[in-house]
Amino acid sequence: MASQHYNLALQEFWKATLGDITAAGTTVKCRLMRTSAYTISQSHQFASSLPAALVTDVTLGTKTANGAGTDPGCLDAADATFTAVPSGAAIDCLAVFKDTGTPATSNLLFYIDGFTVTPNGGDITIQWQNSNPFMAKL
Amino acid sequence: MTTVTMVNSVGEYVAGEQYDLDMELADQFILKGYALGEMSRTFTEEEHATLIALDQGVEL
Repeated sequence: MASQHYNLALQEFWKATLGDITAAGTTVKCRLMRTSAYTISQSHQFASSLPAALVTDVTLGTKTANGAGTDPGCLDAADATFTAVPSGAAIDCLAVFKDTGTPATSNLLFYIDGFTVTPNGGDITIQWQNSNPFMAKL
Repeated sequence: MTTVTMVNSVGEYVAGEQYDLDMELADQFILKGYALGEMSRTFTEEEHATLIALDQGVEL
């Protein structure tokens, strides 16, 4: 699979039902996952389709919709650190979603793979790209 | 307790926000570069190296 938006998120963007993703009051979370436990499907709309969190999801901050200020359409945020990730098989994908507090109503936004990191009990920091498309581009 | 400003988002601690954390956690976040603030004491390079020994970064 390749990194991609969830089509049902794009649908909701067009309908403007997701609101301002970058607003301070909007909780956007990132979940680390394994492709052995999750296969992206464009039928997935909510976080309830994701496997259980391996470690506490990270709540993203310093969100912008224009990359570093010059790339409109690019979502960016501060790097995300997952603390004390238990040792185990490699982690190789993640999903970002708008959290409502209830997985069944928390809209999935996009999915990223193409990386791999083997947890060893230490922290794992996801360093978003510092150039277009940053985290994701519409 | 001490006040830090998060640089990274760490778990439920959101980047850009300020938090009052216990000194131990604040020191850890500051030493690892996750937050800005005042540490309770000076740490040696050895202590710093030990603290970050297992940490990993993933560049997307």
